[in-house]
Amino acid sequence: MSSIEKMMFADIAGMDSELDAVLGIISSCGCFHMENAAAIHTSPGKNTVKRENPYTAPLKMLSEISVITGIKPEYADCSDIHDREAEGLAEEIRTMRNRIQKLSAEVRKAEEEEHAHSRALEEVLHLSGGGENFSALNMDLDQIFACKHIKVRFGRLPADSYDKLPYYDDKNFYFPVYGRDKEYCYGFCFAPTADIEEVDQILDSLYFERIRLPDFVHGNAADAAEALKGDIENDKKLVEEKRRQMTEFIEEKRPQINKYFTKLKTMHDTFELREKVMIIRDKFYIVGFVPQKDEERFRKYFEGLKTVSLIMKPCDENGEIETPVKLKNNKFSEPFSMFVELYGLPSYSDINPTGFVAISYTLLFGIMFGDLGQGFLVLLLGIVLWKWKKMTLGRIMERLGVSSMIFGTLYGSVFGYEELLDPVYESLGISFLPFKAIHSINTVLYAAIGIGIAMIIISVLVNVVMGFKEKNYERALFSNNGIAGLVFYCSLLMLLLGGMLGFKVGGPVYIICLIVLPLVVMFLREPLGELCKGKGFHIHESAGDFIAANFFECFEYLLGYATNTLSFVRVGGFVLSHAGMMSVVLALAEMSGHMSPVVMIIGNLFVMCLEGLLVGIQVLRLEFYEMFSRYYTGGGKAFEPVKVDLDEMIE
Amino acid sequence: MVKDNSGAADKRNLNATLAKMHAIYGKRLKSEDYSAMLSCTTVADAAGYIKHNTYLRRLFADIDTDTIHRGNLENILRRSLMEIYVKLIRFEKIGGEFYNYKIIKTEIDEILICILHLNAGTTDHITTLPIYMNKYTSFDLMELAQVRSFTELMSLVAKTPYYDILKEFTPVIHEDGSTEHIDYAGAELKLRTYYGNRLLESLSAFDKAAQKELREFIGTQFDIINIINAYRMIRYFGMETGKVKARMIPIYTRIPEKKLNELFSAESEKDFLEKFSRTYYGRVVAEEGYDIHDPETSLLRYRLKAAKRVFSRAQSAPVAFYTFNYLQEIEIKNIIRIIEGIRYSLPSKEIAELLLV
Repeated sequence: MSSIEKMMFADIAGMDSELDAVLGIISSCGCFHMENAAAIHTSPGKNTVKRENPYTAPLKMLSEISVITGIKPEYADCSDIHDREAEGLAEEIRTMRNRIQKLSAEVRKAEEEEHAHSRALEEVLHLSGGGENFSALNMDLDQIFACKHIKVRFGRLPADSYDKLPYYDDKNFYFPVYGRDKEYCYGFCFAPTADIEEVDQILDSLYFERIRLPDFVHGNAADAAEALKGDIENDKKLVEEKRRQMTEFIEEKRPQINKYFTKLKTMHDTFELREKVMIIRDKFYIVGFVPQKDEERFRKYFEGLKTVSLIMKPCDENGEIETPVKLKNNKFSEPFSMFVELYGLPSYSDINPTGFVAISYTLLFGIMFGDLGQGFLVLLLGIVLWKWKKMTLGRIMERLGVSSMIFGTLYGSVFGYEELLDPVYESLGISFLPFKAIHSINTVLYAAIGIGIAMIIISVLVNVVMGFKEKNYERALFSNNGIAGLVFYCSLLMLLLGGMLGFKVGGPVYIICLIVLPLVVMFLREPLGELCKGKGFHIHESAGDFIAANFFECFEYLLGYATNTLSFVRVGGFVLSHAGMMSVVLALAEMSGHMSPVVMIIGNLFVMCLEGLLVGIQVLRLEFYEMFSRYYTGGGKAFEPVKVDLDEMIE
Repeated sequence: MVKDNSGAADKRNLNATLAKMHAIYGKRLKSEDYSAMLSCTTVADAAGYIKHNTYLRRLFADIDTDTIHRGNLENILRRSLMEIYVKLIRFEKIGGEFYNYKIIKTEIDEILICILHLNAGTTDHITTLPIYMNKYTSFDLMELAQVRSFTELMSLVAKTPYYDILKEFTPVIHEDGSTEHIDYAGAELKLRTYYGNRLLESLSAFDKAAQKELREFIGTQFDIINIINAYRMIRYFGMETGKVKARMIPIYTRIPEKKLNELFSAESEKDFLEKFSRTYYGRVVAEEGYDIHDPETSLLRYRLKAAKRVFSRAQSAPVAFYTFNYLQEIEIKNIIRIIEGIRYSLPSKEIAELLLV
């Protein structure tokens, strides 16, 4: 059965000399939830022990290695490295980092060289690609750029700017174009040396992008292109070689990097815990929580420590720090804690609703999505998601799949074939099965409302129990989710049921005692609650405000009962919609000839995805809105045991 | 020309154009795009961001954003406004005088720049000339850039309506051959008034609902231009009472003329802001929570918000067309502001304050 793990409050004190050993224990034991000791131990001379973490610097270097190599360090056994040696690893890591940086720089340099040659080739290809208007293209580029009296600018002019060139007809320059694309005209600009300054200004105002051919481009365009192609080939080989060298080095050092990282990260995270440690003179104090079941194991860790005292007491005795919550669930309900956590954990004194959620969710899903075949697929998908992807949702889907298969068997529905199981039931001599939902619409809808009523009553009963447990009589007795509300709701239902089925319920006494009186009690729930606490019958606000506020609240309760109950009609709605949608798929398959398997597969997948998702969401809505709102508040603090986070890099 | 000049309204159902505008608008830049661009430290980075992460990537497909000249980048962005404008008109072959408004506005803007150059004696109009508009304008923009005197300007626009508007601004030529400055402010007022009236007249071709919406939106535009100009004249130039009114474009929409006269006759910035707060615009700006002491930014923000509202609800193509192009213009201006801000190393916070979003 689901409940909340019992917690023990642990108060650890000891001499400074054994602090590191204690921090090592609590970070590795996996069952200690640490709190800030300053919240408990108050003393004028107190201070927390926070100094610079000595493991941050080497971890940053490992992080740099990770960024360069693109490989994230993983867990590795580091038991052969003693704690005292950890700080000394920095030098070795620095050497490793420097070597990797050097190799990486060499790779980058080779790549840049290749890039520069490729870029130059691109420009030179522009030169050799045109040429109709420019006979100099076959000339030696060195000669062109070496002209003494004529200056040459090579580059591209935006097409818009090129259209403006006629404006400068009176200026002393010549801009032959040898190639153009959508945006640019490529060309050389020739101008006398004396005018080049003015021409440069004009070109700049026309957004001319000058391309400076690198020094390594020689000869005419075609020759230069050939030479560059050769260079690029060589560059590629060099890049490959440099990359190989780097990969070899990384692979060689990888086990070492993983080991150092695991050790240093453990030491780093342990050191960080000092923020929550309280030091008074030479003594340290640590407080936290340990699950009761781990108490003995936890105590044993401290047996070898001479100066350390460990006091453990049940949590109820400690009121200063909110006790963290760890849900205790059985194997069936465990994955459903995901939904409870989504809503908010219960407080330590509250109940764990996971069991109820697991049963009601599975049941409602099965009812609403009953299909033997599709349920089986949901089960398979769940197994795949859990086994390969480790998704908790996969475990939930396994349970929902089984539920869907059970109800699918009862409905006689297999991949939309509603008659497939009929012979089985006939041979077994069971006449009342399979249950054909589509032929009994009213029964389905009434049953859905019946389920809703049962769920609401169970929710109210849970709330009543919780109210008594907390000694909150307003919650248990007088609220809309207390005894008063329950009496009112049940009496009203009986009255309606009597009217529908024709048996006599009612009369003035019934109405006054079971309907009017609970309503009055709900109206006066706050002062009655105060009365039970022995504070007398008091109304804290003015009579007018009290009446107005409570009138509307009671009205809201009435509406709430009606809407919450009717909300469960959707359960029946989905039973019918599944049958309806599958009959459409069957009709389409028949229309496309001889029950087309393609249509059947696509149709089934479509219905399964759409309905499965919708039903999943709708049931969750029923859980959260119709049920949780009646008995559950959430707001608890999660139990988070101290642990080393190897996924986090220090940057 | 983009349109036919028949003046006849296009009364077709232009739902496809409407849908196209909404589709383009849906891809507009989001606040995270602006934040990303603001965090860029070089123009090349910002251009790279636009090229790789926004719907404007098509503009830069053939551009190397690492080497692009900032001026060219801005030119491409501005040109894209006209490309979208033309694309929308051609999509369902819309016709009518109204759809010419952007061309008329460009012509007027360029004539005014030309006058500025004539007065300043400078000859580099060519550098900022939107040459891509040359195929649409009623006179040759390249010839406009070559104009060196008012007479040359008048002969260039001789066959256009601008001739009659500008002839009263012919500068006096003294006996010694020197020429007085052209009255730029007067010419601007006349030309902008002509533009506003022509635009509003062109609306009569549409159905009443579209006319009403466009009249309100365009009217608001002129109200805001007038208020901002008046505020600048009073705040920065300390212009005398009475002279401000004469510089206003006589197209008033949401504020009665009497109240506007009061506003324009404010004696100081404080007096102006006090009077402004009692006008329609003062009230809406305050309701929107904008800073009433900065009417310029507040009014532009208000107008942007109004444009978004009108565009999103527009059932009629001309209403959507006008507001859509306005929204596009604001977006491109924002990008250009960011690029200029980065170029001049303004802190990103200061650039962000200049954006209209």
